[in-house]
Amino acid sequence: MSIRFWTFLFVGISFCLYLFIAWFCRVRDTKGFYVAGRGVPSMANGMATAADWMSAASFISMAGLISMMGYAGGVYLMGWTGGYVLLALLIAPYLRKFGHYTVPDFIGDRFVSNLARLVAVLCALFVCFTYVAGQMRGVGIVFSVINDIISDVNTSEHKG
Amino acid sequence: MSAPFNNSNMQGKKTTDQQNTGPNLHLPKIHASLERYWRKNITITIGLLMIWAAIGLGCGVLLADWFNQYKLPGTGFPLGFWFAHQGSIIVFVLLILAYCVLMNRLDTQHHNELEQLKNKRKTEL
Repeated sequence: MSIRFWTFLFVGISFCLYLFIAWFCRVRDTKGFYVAGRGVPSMANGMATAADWMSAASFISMAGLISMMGYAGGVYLMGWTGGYVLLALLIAPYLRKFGHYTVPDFIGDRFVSNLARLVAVLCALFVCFTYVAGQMRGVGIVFSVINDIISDVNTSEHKG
Repeated sequence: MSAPFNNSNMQGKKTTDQQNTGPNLHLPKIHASLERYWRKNITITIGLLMIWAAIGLGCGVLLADWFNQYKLPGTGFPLGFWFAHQGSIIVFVLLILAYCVLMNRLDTQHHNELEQLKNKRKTEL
């Protein structure tokens, strides 16, 4: 059994597991989609958020950025975590109390303005687009590295 | 800034009342209680945000050069660099924890106060 076979086997099993979980936990309404019906205990929710942060964007991109930029890379660390403090203090409690699930909804209703809602939606789109682009590039790099290792091992087996 | 409980969208905490129409703002005691709750909320938020600005912006960015004279005790890292890259993050996480604890306490206190006032109103009616 070659390395390539085992790699594809494990990656395939993981993907099938994720697809099964997604199908098994499918939901029917908005509340279920955004906040899982508010049925997730806060410890588990916190752990899920932490796992979300330990994704390609932080592990690969931010670590690489900081090692490349040096001291100036601290701007990303302070900006990201400092922004989380702002989110927790200024938006999250009022968002929950308003009963909305997304920040543009909340801003549109709190300030009774469709222009504010539009601006919030545009900001959210920019942020999401940047983040997803970075994530996908990280995923591509990881998989290309796996394939490189596979082809390196195979060629060294043939040579050695 | 005006308290947001004048907006009809704000639901109060879950009560055991049949009709959850929210607090009756015509009673001056309930209004005063809500004002006090909002003032304390704002005080906690502003206090924590001042610590956030002092440590994050102050120690990490503005005074970083002055802090860099000193080294972190035990290791050889300049203090300004450490504040920007690790210390501020630790402080931010502690700030969020402090906010949760303080606000939970304030919320239960306020909820008990409102319950007392509502029970007094029911017994008076």
